[in-house]
Amino acid sequence: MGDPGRRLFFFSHLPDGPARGALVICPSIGAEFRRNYNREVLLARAMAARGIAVLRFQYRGTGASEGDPQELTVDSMIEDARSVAEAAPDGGRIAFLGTRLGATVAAVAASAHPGAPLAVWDPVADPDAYLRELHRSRLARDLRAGRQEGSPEEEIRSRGLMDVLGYAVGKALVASVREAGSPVAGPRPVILVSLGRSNGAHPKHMALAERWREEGALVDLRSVAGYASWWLYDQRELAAEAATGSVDLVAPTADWLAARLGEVDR
Amino acid sequence: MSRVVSRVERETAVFMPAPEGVLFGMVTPPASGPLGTAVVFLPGGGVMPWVIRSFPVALSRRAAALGYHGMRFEYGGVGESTWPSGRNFHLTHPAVDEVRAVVAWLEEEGIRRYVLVAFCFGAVTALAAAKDLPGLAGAALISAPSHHDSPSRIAADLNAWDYLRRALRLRVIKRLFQRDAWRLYRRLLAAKLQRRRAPDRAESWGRKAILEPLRALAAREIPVVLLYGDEDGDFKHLQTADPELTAGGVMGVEVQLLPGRIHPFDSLDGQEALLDAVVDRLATWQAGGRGR
Repeated sequence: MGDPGRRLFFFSHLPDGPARGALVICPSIGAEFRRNYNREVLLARAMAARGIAVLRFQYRGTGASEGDPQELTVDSMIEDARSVAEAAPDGGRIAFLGTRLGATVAAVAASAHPGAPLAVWDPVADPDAYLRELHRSRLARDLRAGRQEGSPEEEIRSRGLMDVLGYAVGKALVASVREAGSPVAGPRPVILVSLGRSNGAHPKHMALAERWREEGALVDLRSVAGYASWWLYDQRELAAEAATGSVDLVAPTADWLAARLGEVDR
Repeated sequence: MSRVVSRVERETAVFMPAPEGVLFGMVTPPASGPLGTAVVFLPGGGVMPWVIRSFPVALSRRAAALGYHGMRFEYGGVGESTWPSGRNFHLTHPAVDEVRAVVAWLEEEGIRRYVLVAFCFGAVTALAAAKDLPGLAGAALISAPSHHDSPSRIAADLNAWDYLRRALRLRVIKRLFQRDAWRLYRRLLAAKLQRRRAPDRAESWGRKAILEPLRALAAREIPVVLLYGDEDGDFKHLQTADPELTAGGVMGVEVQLLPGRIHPFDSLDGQEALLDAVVDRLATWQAGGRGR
C-alpha cells in the first residue's frame, strides 16, 4: 500500500466466510512491537475464527514497510493506521486495538469512526513516564555490560536518535510522544487491559479509565498478571507465555471485540 | 538502524511448507543484475520474531543492492510461522528441517545457490544443515556459541575464586532458599567437575557443533567468516579449543572481531558495524564469483 519508497506493509487475516466486521491492530514500537508481535498474530487468528477480518500493519520506517526510521512520529503512525483502516473490507463494522504507544495511535484512528470499539493493552497513560522507562531500559543495559554511555539527551542531540537496547528511537518520535500526551478515547466502548500486576489494574490505568468514563466512554477495565516486561525480558518468561498461547490476554479481548462488533455500526 | 537503506522493488511475503508447519518469510528481489544467489538470514533462537528487526531488513535490502535475493524468515512457532504447539529452542536441537524447507522453496523458485548469514542459534543451525546443502556458497556466522547451556559456559568462564566472590553476593545468599537456585547450582557443580575430570568431553559439544562442521566447510572450499564482538566470551572459548582455526590458519575460514559486544544484539552501533562487515563480505564473495 502506498507510493514506492513509502510503501506500507500489512497483513490481512480473513475469515472463511464473509467478514462481519474488521479490526485494525496498531502495534507499538521497538522492543514493544517485537514483544507483542506473537500476541497480535494470535489475536488476529482468533478474530478471523470469529468472523472478523483483521488488518495488521507495520508503520513506515519500521519492519518491512518502507520509509526512513528517523521520520517516524506519532502523527505518521496515526496516518498509517488511518490508511490501513480505509483498506478494511467494505460494509462491515470496524474496531481498533493498540498496545502501549500503539494505544495512543488506535485511539486517534478510532476517533474518525464514531462509536467504533477500542481495545487497548497496557496503554501509555503518561508520555513522560514512558520516555523515562525507555531511558531506564537503556541504563539497565549499560549497567549489565559494565559500560557508561552518554545520557539519552546527549545522544539525541548529537546523533538525532537514542539507542534503546538496539532499537532506534528518533528525535522526532520522542518529541511527538511528548506532544501526543495521554490518549483520548471519546464516547465508545473500550476495553482497557492493564498488564503486569496480580492485584488489579495499575493505578495509572485506573485513572485513565476513570477519565475516559467521564468523557463518555463505556470502559471495561481488566487486568492480567504477568506480561509485564516490555523492553527487558527473559527467554523463560517468553517460552512460558508461548506455551499457553497468551490465552488469558488474547481470548477475553477477542470475545469482547467480537461481541462489540456485532453491536456497533461503522 | 538509522541509515536509510537503498530503495528496493516490492518485497514479497511468502509461506513455505515445512515438516512441522508453514514458515513465513520475506523475499527481497535483487535491485541490480541478479546473481542467482540468495542471502538467507537465520535468526537467533527464541520465540521473539526477527523478520521485523532492522538488521535482517537492512541486510536483505543491502544484499539486494549487490544483486543477491534477500530472504529472511521466522522459525516455526514464531510470528506468522506455525508450529503444532509451544516451541522450545535449544542449541542441541538446531532448526535443520526449517533451513532445508527454506532452501527447497528457493530451489523451486530457481535459486540454487545461497549464502547463510546466521546469528547464535542460527549459526549452530547453519553448521548442522550445511552438509546437506549442495548450493551453499558462503556463510557469515555471527556469535556462534561455544557452549550449549549456561552452566557449561559459566563453568568454562569462572575459576574457584570467581565462584567464591559470587557466592558472597547478597542476591546469591537470598536465592539459597529457592529450589530453582539449587537446581542451577547442582548443574554448575556438575559442569565444573566434568571440566576437571574430562575436559575434552566438557568441550565436546562446541567441537562437534561448531569446530568440526567449520573444518568440513573449509574442506569443501566454502568461504566462511566468523564474526564476534571483542568483548564476547564465546570467541575466547573457541580460541582455546581450536587456536589454529580461530587464528585464521584454516584456508577459507576467516575471523573478524568487532569492537564491543555483539551477542545480545542490544546496541545500534554494534548492529551497524556488523551489518557493514557482513555486506563487505558479501560484496567480496560477489566480486570473486564465490556468491555466483
